[in-house]
Amino acid sequence: MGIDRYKKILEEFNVVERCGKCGTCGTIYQNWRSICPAVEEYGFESYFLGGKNLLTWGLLHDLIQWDNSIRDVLYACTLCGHCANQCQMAEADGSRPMKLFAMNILEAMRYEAVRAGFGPMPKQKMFGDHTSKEHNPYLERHKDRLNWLPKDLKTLPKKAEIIYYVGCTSSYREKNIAIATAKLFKHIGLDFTILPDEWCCGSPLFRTGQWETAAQVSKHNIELMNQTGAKALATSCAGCYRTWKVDYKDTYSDLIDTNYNFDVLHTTELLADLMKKGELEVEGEFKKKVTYHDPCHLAHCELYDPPRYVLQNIPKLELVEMERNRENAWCCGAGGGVKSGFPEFSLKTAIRRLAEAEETEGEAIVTPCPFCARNLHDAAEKAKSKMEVYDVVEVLAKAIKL
Amino acid sequence: MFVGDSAEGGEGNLYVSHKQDFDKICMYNYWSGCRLMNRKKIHDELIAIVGSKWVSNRKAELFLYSWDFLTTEPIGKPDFVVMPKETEEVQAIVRLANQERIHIIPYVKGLSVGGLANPNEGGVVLDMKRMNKILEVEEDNMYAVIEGGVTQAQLKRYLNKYYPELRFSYTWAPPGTGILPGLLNYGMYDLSLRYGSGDRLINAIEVVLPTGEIAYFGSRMFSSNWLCKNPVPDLMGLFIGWQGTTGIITKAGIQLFNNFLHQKTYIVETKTVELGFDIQNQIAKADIADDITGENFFWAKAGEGYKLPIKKKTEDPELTTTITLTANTSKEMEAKEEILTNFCERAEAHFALMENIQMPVQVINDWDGAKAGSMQWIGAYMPNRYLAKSYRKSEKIYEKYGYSIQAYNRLMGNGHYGIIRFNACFWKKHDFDERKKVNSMLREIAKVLLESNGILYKPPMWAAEILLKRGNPAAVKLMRKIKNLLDPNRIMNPGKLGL
Repeated sequence: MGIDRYKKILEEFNVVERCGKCGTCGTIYQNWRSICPAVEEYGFESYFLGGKNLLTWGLLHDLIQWDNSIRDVLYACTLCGHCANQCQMAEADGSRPMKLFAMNILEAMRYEAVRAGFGPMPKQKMFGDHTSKEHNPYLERHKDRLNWLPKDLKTLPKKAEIIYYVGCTSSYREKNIAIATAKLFKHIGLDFTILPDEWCCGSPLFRTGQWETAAQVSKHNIELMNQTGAKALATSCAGCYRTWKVDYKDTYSDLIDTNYNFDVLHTTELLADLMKKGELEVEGEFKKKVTYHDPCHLAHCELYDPPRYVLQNIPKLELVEMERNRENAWCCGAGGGVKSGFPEFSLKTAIRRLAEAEETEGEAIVTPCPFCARNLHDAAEKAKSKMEVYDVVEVLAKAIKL
Repeated sequence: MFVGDSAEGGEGNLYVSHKQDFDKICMYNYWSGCRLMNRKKIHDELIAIVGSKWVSNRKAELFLYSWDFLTTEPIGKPDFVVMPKETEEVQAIVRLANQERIHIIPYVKGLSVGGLANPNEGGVVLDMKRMNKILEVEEDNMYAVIEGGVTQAQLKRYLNKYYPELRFSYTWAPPGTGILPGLLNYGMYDLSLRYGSGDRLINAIEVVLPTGEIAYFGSRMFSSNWLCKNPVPDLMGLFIGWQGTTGIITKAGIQLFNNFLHQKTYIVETKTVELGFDIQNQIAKADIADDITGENFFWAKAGEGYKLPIKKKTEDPELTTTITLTANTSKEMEAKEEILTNFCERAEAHFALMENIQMPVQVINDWDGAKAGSMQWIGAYMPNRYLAKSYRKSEKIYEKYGYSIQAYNRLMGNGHYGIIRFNACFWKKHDFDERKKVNSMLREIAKVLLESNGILYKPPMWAAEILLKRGNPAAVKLMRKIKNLLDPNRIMNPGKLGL
């Protein structure tokens, strides 16, 4: 548990120790535009990845002791991980340990903050406790989880080839994304259904160091999925996708101790595949110039092209890129527990992203993540921006006129 | 593993007391704490100057600004870390510091590899990173006006975007390092063979004097431009090379250069450093190159990602020299290449074209050395003919301590002088005993460098003491007088440069 799970990695690659606090993590390598929302907002050395590494080093070697200031630094980070992507320190074989391990170590240090009695941030603790009881972090009732379902979809089959895993944000906040996804699946004629007792995937809990609760909800979801006998799970949420794809299977598999063999797909992977096979043709159009925002959780899975492919195959849609994109995208500011823990910082980060979207002279910013969409919506409202915000499935559903 | 699991450390518990190395810090902290009886008042006044968001006395920041994390020498804890945005804010902080007799330590990224931007007796660390505006680029006379916290990455991006035909001279320091600290400390650059050390690239400066006045030097002393040094006594020398002990440079006009259409980089491998330094010297005199640097075998291997120690085979080159050529036309480039080829063939040295390096660059592994994130160095400006001799003597000292020699050199100012630097990065960050051993070794090498007519550059505190002891007494006395005259309350970065 905790940082001890990385003992071997810490010793073999000296991941935190080898950091010289050089600051390369603050800008995109060889482009030099800023890449770290926390550095942009707070400025002090502590907010660079290097600062977090060296605080970790100090904690691990008893040179400093936990307090709220160290907690704040470790939690005021969206865990986008694009900082680690800039660090060029490499092994002789070319592998880059900072890129591979820095974010996992940071998450483990958040677990240590919880264990030491300093973490998580108060609102994160609140959503952690609520998730234990009601299985969602939005302080909503579990029995209302499927309230978004349109009337014509109320009677889904008990078993199907594909399970549409909705996720908490689409279930309770960005319901239009859930509706658009379900309508699209029905329109295409997919054999799909929804879990009768879907719980939070645990992503916000893993990110904020509340691992025990995260393991409980993960176990429940996997067992439930296994019971369905489905071939694949598809989700429109980048956070759920990364959690199912990477965390359940790899990063936290030892905590969950429950295996599965079905495929995990992001909805855009599924849609792009159908488009390539000629099984999904878009007859309508979406006549707007749009820019695409890469969610960090999809970057963690190196999933960049399917959402773009879907957008590029919508008639009349003009796709333009922001300067910071793919593995170097500027985070929307919502992830890593920041939206609840540091709401002002979160919103400012999203406003900065909107400003970049406006640089493209696009009319809309499109993303395949309800949590990104939510924060970008909030930012557009706060900044009184004319930029429209959509999810990829919403754009597709609009084009098809569903 | 986590001693602080159950309790929040108070002011006095920042460092674990049983660590011998931290006794010194605790002593300084006690001293500083006693002087700062009105800590709350100072905190409030700093907030009034820059806003609460940009003042910290929190443990996380105090820890990170206390250390030079490369040398791993813990020096002393600051009382506050402050991030000003405007020159007037710096001015107000300096006035407050004079009033309260607290120290000020200017800081951009803290990568001097010598703790030059870390406090040793408490005080306010002035982190300049928010002063990051590029105020002007003057294309005709090729200079930029930048604020004190602008980094290499920021200037490079700005020039790429708006003035791609112009370039700055970059160091091998990481992209996030400040431009002015390197220039002000006589750093070496990728155009140093052509133009000399960093100080030569500064045209004019805006300084907040230790007494709080704002003063302009260089051409800004008499005009509104940042064009050049003055054809009158050069008062910029009162601030260049002083390691932040005589004032805070808040703006500077710095030289830019033509970005040549053609650039090629060659490496020349030689069996011995003697042969390598000789070839470097000949090429420098031929005046065809922009930059000539050398890395010895072990330093080069650390850069490639190998974990030291490793074995050097007989056929391995002892020195690898990197030579950068630039030209306006391909014909000009061909002519330069012909001259270079002749030198190398005559010396029977292996040479090859390599990929151009995009500067600035995060030197891949040099900063973590033996993957332990620790490094100390000692280096000197010296006559070129002493480079090989000092290398051989230093090699024996490395061997005596059980290490492999790590050396790096550069020829400067059209070959008028050279710099050689000896690096050591063999110890784990938290192995304080080995760090002491490394430091003892470098002290011995410092003596070798001085005996070789070298002048220690960017000296860490320990090296500055050695250097000043050898200095001409009248000149050193004058240095101290100037320091006292400029900084009567001795608030500016005390202890650095032996002052």
